[in-house]
Amino acid sequence: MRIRAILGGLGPWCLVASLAAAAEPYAGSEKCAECHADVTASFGRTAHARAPGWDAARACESCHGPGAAHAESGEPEGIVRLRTLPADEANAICLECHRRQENHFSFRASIHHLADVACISCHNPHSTEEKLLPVRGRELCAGCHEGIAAQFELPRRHPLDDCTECHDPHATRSLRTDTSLFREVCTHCHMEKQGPFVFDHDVIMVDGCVSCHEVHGSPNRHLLKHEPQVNLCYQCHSATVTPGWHSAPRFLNEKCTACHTAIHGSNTSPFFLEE
Amino acid sequence: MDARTTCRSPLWVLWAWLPLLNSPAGAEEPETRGSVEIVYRSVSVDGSRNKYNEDFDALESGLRLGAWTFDWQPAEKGALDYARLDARGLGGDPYERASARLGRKDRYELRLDYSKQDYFYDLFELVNNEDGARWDAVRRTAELGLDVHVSDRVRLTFGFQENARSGTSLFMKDIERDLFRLETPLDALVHRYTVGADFRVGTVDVLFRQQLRRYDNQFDNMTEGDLGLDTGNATALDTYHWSQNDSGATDLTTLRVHTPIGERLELTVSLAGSLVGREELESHIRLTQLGTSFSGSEFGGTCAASGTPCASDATCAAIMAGDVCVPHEGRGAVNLDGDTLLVSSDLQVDVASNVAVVLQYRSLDRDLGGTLARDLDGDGAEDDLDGDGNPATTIRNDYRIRTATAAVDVRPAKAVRFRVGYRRIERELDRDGFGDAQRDLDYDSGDDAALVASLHLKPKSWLRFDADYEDGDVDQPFHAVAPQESRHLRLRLKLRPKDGTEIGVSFLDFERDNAALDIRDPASLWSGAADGTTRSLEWRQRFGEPASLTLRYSRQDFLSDVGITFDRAGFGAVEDGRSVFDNENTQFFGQLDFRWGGPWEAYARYWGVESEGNNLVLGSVSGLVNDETIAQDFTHAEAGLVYRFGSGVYVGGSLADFDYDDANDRLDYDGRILTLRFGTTF
Repeated sequence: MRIRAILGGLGPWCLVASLAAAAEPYAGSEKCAECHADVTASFGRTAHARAPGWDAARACESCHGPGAAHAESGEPEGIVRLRTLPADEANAICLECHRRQENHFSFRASIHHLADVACISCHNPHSTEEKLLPVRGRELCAGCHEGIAAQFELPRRHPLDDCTECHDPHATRSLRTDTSLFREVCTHCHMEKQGPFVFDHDVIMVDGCVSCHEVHGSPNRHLLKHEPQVNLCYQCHSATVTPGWHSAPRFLNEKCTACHTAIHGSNTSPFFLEE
Repeated sequence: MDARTTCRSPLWVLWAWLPLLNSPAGAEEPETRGSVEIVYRSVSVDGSRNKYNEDFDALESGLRLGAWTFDWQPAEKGALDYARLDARGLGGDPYERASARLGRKDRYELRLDYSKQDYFYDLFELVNNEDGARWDAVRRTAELGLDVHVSDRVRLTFGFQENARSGTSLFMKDIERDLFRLETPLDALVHRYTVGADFRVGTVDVLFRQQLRRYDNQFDNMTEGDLGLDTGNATALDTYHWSQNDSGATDLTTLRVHTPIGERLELTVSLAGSLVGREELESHIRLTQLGTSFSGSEFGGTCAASGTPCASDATCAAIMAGDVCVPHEGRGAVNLDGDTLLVSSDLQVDVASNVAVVLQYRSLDRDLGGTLARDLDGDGAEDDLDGDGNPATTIRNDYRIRTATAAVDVRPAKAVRFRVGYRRIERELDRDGFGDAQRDLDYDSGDDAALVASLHLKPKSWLRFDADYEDGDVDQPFHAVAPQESRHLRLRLKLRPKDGTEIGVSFLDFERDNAALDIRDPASLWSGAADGTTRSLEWRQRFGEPASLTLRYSRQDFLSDVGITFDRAGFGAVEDGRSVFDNENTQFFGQLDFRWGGPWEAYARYWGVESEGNNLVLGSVSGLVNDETIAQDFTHAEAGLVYRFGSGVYVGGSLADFDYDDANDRLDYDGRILTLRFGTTF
C-alpha cells in the first residue's frame, strides 16, 4: 500500500497518478528537514532536485512515501526505506520515472535486474555526484565483478577507467549496443576498424572483436587471446582453409600479421595483405 | 615524428564558457565547489625503455594538471542553473580526460567531452632491432552534445563527435624475397553528427536518432634507398610508396518504442540501421615502386621467375602473388555500398506475481556490395581478382543473424530467484568476389542452440550467491569453421558478515572443443580444444572512518591445444603439427587507505602479476620442436602521503616502484615514479 502510494506520488512527469496517494498523509519536505538536515541540505544540488517536473514540496516522500506517520512516531518502520526492500520492489520505485529513459526501456528484462541487483546498489539518490554515483568507474563495478577487475591488472590491459564506456548496466545485453551493428562499441574509439571493407574479416563481422581479443586484459600483446599469434589464427585457419605452405611447421611460431597487415579488413586484398 | 605533438587540442572549449558564470551585480552569491590539483612527476627507468613505454604508454616526467573539478549553482534559478567541470591528466599524460556540463536541468543541457589516449609499442627490440613492428599513436575524441527539453514529454538531442588518430607505425613487408621496413602514418578522421528526439504519446515512449558518420583514412606505406633486411641478396628499393585514401559515409537510424500493455506486459521494439541512407565507401590507391629485383635486374626489366618482359614504365616485383610487373604508378578504385537493419524486441510478461517470462528476439541483416577495379600488377589491364574473366571484381558480402531467447524468471521465495532459458541462433553468410571457390564459401550455421540458466540466492542480508551456466552446440560458427561445443559456468559468492566487511569469491570455468576435416583433402584434419578457469578471492574492510583495506588474489589458467595433421598433396608427406599454449597468471592486489583524525592522509598500494607457462610447438617434417617458456613478472608498489591545511590547500607526494622481468631478458626494466601534488579545494 505504501509503495503504491509512492508510485502515485511521484512528480507530474510520471504517468501513474494513483488515487491511493491520498490515502496516507504527507509530511512535506520541511518536516523531513527537521531531523534529516544533513540529507536535505545537499539534496537541492542533486540531479533529482533539478529534474524536469520535480515536485519540490514532496521531494523526500516521492520515493520514501507518505511520511506523516513516521514524522509523528520517529519509527523507521513508518516510512519506506529502499535498502530494506527486495531489489524488485526498490527498483519499481525508481523505474516508475526512469524506465522512460532511453537506456532503461528494457531494464526489467536486463541482466542486472534479473540478477536481483537494485538500482541503489550503484546509485545513491541523495548523492550530488553526476548520475548519483558516489563511486565511479571501474571501482564501482569491481565491488561485484572482482574477477573482471583482476583482468585489468594483467600485463596488458585496456586503458579505460569506466566500464560504462563499453557496457550498459541497464540493458538486456551487457554491451552498450549490438556488437554486430557496425561494431560501434569498439569502433567508438577504434574508428578505423569500423569499415565497411571490401574484404571483411568474417569473424569480426559476425562474432565481433572479442573473437580474437581479451578486451579487459591479457598476458599477451594487443590483448590477444593467444600468443604466439599463429596459435590464435589456427583456431580457424587450419588445414581446412589455408594454403599448404601455411601448415608447414616453420609457420607454427610466426606472426601472421607480419604479412596479413590489414587483418581487420582490407579494401584492396582478399588476403588482407594491404589496407 | 612524435604523435603526441601533431594533433591540436580542442580543450579551449572546456573553459571558454566560464565567464558566463559571473553573477549579476547585487545578486546572491552562487554556490561553487571544486578542486584544482597540480602534479609534478619524475620518472626514472632502467632497462628496456621501449617495454616501459608499451606498458605505461610512454608516461613521462613533467608538470600536469592532475585534476580540476568545478561545480557551480546559482542561488536563484535562471537560464543557467548548474555547471560542472571535470578534468584529469591534462598537459601531456597518456590519458587526458575533460568534460563539462552546463544548463538548466528542466530546459536544456550542453555537454562537452574530450579525451586523449596514447598507445605505444616497439617490437624491434625483441628481434635484434631488425624484423619487428613499431606503433606510436594518439587517439583524440571531442564530443559536443545538446539536449533540449521542449516539454515534459518531448526532448530534442543534438550531437557532434570528432574522432582522430595520428602517429606513425613501422612494419616489415616481404617484397622480392626480402624484408623492408615501411613507415606508415596513422592518420584517420571520423566525424559523427546526430540529431534525435524522445517523446511520449499516451503510454508509448518513442526514441528517434539519426546519425551520419563521415570518415577519411589515409594510408601511406613508404621507404626510400632501402637495401632490405637481407643485405646478402640483390633486392633493393629505391622508392616504394603505397598511397591509399578511403573515405565514406554511413547513415544510422535508430527508432525505439517502449510501452506497457495492460498490467502484465511490457514491450520494447527497436529498429536500427541504414533506414534513411546507405553505407558508402570510396577507395583510391596509387603505387610507386622502383628498385632492383631479387635476380639483380632493375625493376622494369624481365621478371626472373615468370620471364615476363615488363613495359618500359613498369617494374618487376613480387609484391602481389607471383613474380609480376608493376607500373611505376599503379592505381586502384573501389565503390561499395550497403544496407543494414537490426530488429530487436523484448517482451516481459508477468505471468504471476513471482513468475515472469522474458522473450527476446533479434535479427540483423547486412548486405554489402560493390565493385573493385585496379591495375597494380603492371600487365596493362585491370586485375581480375575473382578469376571470373572480367577485369572488374564484383563484391558481395551479405550476412544474417537471428537470435531468439525465451526464459522463465521465477522467484519461489523472497530469497531465491532462478532463470532457465533456451537460446537459438541462426547465422548465414553469402559472399562473392573473394577469389577462388573456397574463399567464396557460403556459411550456414544451421541449428545452433544453447541452454542458459542462472540462480540467485540471498538467504540473509549478509549473504549472496549467484550462478550462471550456459551449454551450447554450434554446428558451424563463424569463429571456427568446425563443429563446436562450448560450456561455461560462473559462480559468485558475496559475504558481508558485519558492517564494513565484504568478502567476495568468484569462479569461472569454460571449455570449447571443435574439430574439422580439410574440405580439399580428407586426409588432412584439424582439432582444437581450449579450457580455462578464473578464480578470485577479495576482502574489503573498512576500519571505521579512518582506514580501509582491499586485498585480492586471482588466478587464471588457460590451456589451448591445437593439432594439425596435414597431408601435403603433391609432396608425398604427411606432417603433424601441434601447438599447446599453457598459461597461468597469478595476481595479488592490495590497497590500504588511512586517514588520521588530523590533516594527514596516507595510502599504500601493491599489485603483482606472475605469468608463466609454456608454448610447445611440434612439427614432424622438419623435426621442429620449439618449447617456448612464458614468464612475465610484474610488481608495482606505491605509497603516498597528503597533508591538508585548514584553508583547503593540500600538499602531498607518492613514490611508486615497479619491476618487470620477462623470459626474454632484453625486455626487463624497473623504475620509480616520484609524484608531488599541490592542490586546493574550495
